[in-house]
Amino acid sequence: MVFSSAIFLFYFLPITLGIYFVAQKLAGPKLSNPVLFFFSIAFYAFGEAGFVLLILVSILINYVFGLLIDHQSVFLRRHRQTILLIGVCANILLLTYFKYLGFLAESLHQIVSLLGFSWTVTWPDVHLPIGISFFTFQAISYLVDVYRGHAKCQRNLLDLGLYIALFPQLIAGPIVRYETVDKQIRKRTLTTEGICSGLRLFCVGLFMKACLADTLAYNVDAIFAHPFEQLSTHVAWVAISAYSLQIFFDFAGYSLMAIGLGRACGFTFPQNFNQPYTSLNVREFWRRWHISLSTWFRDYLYIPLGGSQRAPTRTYANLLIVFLCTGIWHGASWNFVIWGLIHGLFIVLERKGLSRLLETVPRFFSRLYLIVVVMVAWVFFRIEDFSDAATVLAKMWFPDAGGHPVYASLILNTDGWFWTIFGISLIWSLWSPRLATTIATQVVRQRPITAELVKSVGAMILYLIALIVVISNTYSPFIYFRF
Amino acid sequence: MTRTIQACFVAFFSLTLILGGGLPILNFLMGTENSISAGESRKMTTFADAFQPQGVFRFKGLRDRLEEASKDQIPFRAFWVRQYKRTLLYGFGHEKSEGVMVGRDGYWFQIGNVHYSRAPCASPRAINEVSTDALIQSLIEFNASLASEGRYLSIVIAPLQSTVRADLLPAGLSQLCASPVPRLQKSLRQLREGGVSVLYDPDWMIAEGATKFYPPRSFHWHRGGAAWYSRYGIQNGLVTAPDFRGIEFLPQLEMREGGVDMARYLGVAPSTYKALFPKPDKDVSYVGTVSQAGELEHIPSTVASLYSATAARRSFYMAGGLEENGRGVIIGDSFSNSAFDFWGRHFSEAIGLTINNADRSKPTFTQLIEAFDPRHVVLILEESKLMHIEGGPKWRAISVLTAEGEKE
Repeated sequence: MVFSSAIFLFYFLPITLGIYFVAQKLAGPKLSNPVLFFFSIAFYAFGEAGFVLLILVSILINYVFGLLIDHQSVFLRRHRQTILLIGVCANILLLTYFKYLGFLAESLHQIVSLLGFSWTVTWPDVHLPIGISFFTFQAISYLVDVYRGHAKCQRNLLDLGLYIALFPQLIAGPIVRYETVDKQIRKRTLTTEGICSGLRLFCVGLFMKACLADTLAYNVDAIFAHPFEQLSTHVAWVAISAYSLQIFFDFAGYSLMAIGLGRACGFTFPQNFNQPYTSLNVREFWRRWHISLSTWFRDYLYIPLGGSQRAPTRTYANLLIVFLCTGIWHGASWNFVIWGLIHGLFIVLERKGLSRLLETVPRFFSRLYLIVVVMVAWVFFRIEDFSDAATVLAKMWFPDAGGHPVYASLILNTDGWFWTIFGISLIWSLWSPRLATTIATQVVRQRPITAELVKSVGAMILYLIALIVVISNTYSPFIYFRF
Repeated sequence: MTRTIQACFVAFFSLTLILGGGLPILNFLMGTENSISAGESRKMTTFADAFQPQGVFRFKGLRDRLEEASKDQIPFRAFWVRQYKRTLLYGFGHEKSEGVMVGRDGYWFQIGNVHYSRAPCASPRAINEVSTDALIQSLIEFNASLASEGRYLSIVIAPLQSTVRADLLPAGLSQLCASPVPRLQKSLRQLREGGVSVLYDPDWMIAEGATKFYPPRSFHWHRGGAAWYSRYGIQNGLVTAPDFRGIEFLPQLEMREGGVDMARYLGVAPSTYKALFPKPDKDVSYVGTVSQAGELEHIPSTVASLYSATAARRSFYMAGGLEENGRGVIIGDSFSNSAFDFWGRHFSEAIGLTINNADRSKPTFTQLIEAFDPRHVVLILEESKLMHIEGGPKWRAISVLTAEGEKE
């Protein structure tokens, strides 16, 4: 069940929110938490009925490890680190089994074959449960935060279950860290303002996903369905540009819907995207793109590895390890490894002096640099096969590589809707947030009622357009579901 | 005031959700759910379907049906879909879910078909020469097999809208590449050299003014083409069935502009239509179905043929009344409905099969030929089918049809 589906919008959401608001009004989190947990599990069961037990087991395991880490007995206190390690490993093992087993076995087989040995590896065909990467990382965050003393141990199993399985962020993030919502799980209040602003965010997110991302997706998928050698240079650039926008609006839209629903329920989830394509370098890009994942890796991997406090070579190695993990987190495939390493490599280069060089050139060129690097990396994100990715890259960079401008002439030259959406997406994603924020702040300060009216009417219009598209469209792929 | 605005927004949002889900539930409880979409010519999934006792315990099926029902039963769905599609079509020149592109003078073209005929060297899918050749070879063998049993095979190829009205393609669309030997020509040559009777002559159609059978906003553009073509072939002795010549039985071919699915659905054509053929008269009757589809239901937008509403099969039996011509089996795509009707009138009895379902129908094609003993088998294809191998059920079906004994 995705947020942009009719069954979610017209059945699950009103029923869940209705009962939740009544429960919250009647008895606060004591009643509303179990209600929300129940509906979150129902939400998961609708998509992955066979794996409800998995998420329940994950909740139980982390609950037990949380108690053990927090236990005051001398023996357990002495071995807290070991318990944490076992708890984290248990989560990673779970993730590895469901997500990486096939990949590891296949890679092992390839390595053995390369070495000239004949060895057939067989592994079970394991289904990847939806959202496992997200809820596993949240669970690890819980254990580490409790260990570090950043958050109190959760002694109520249902409340911990609510944190791990809360439906708005369950299947596609943002990855909410336990310390962020610890207090809100215990106590939160619902206000008209909170509900309204949450629902407005949901409307904007729905528009981003249903109108922008899905429209772009249609042509992107159609272009990439061609044999890659038939793509011309400009079609390859159009395709990867549209894909860059699609993936941003797809994921940012979904995150915004999750944040909005969370806010409507009284939770404050962190911002997950902040105009990433306006960045001036790759480091800044990762401070704006999938923020909850990059900060997770920063706090739970990069800093424990030593961060930037060691020798430069160690820092570079740490960065590459982090981005290797970021890549592999996105998918059990080498193309994601390459995608992550490209980002890691450019961050290392920026640390080694590229940043200083970029500061000396006009901002336009810094942005251009960022966008080109990110788009080249997206080629590997999108295309699993290396030779295909190389073909597309060759098409992008060598105009004489041949090929017919098939889709450009046939569809792109005549498809006004695609170009309209492409243009809106481009302006939206490159719009300077500083300017928009300044204007908005001024308006809100001077004319608060007008600002409220504009925000509400704007959200209503976007929502209605999105609803019509949701009702009419059958094409709504969601990229981040497979992670 | 700020709080009032916020409350109004929350109320508005809630109302849309409650109406969106509440009205369908009310309809379900009252048994007044919308079960057929006449405009789209399809059956709608209802909550009553979803909660059928026999399927309610199969979770995946139940979930899928609930998702479909929740979408199909949205209040005023047809209205909203229509507005959306019209906006895309008239505002931006494309409606991709139906695959329509607007050309010059308000002409509509099917996007995929434009691609086929304008860019034969660069199809949406790779041309698979080996598969195409294998298919052509199997059609030749199929023809030989039928001939050895004293039966005739005729392949009627309907040209696409973009072939017949290439002059009206969108201005931004140029010929993408000039293939020295278009795949279609090669396929035709191979078939003819293999002794197969193939009817394909778009130049004749254009010269004869057959463009009227490709009306500007018809969704099934080549629908008229297939029937018109068949008539031309029969009258001129181009169909390998000598006993057809000179028989005067043709009804007046007529088709009103925009009288078919897409235009009606978008509300740009009258809600009533005039069929290409008149409804079956006393001499022609639909009496049943060869599939296991169960009860037949007439869906208004189809043209002079009966569809099964309970299954995806579109097979029919027809008593044509011309005893001297023996029995016929007609195989075609959905665009061939009119041609089914046309051909069916030429035989004592006829069975029509839709290619999509031919590989799943029972009896199998081989069994059908043996049991029904037709004198004539007619295969109606659109021209793109001889240019590119698509994969998918259509080609699988043709492969199955032409591979004796492989089925079951």
